[in-house]
Amino acid sequence: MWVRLIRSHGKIKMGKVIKVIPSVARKMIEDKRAIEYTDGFPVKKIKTDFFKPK
Amino acid sequence: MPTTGKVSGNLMLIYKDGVAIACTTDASFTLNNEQLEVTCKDNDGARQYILGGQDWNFTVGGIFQFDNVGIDDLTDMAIDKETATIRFGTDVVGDFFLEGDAIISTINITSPLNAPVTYTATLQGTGPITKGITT
Repeated sequence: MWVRLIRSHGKIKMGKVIKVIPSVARKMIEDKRAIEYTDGFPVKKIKTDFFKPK
Repeated sequence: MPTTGKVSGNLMLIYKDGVAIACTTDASFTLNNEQLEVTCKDNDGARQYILGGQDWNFTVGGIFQFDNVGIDDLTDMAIDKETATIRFGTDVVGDFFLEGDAIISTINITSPLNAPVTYTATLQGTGPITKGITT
């Protein structure tokens, strides 16, 4: 998961966008040390015929 | 949802204490099981083995960046002779990962002419390697 740090994390400065494992990300967000970062990443488009009328 | 089908190498990263090493171009995992030969005359020439010691390591390589997570941490780890928890896997819930404590046995930084500065590091496992599921 990508997160943006709102507190420094060790030597990693505040504001940096980093990739962390989900459990660490959840802990960081819960402790208000980071926020989830999703900007700038392409949304996966799903091509399917499932919802088309028969 | 766990990753399905063929997996892109871009998804599998090396994580140090839960934080991905940034801007990597290569990562690998190697495990060796020591073979102890126990062939005896009764085996009629067919060699027999049992497994002994187990040795594993991760290697990681990437583009050198002063202001990103990676080489800064790895060089500190190498110089200070630190042990860190290293994980090799994706950040997708449900995928399995390989994890263990490791030390840096070698680190190499190369700055060639007309090419980016790159680094490679070997993270030698110390203790058992474990396999788990990302939650």
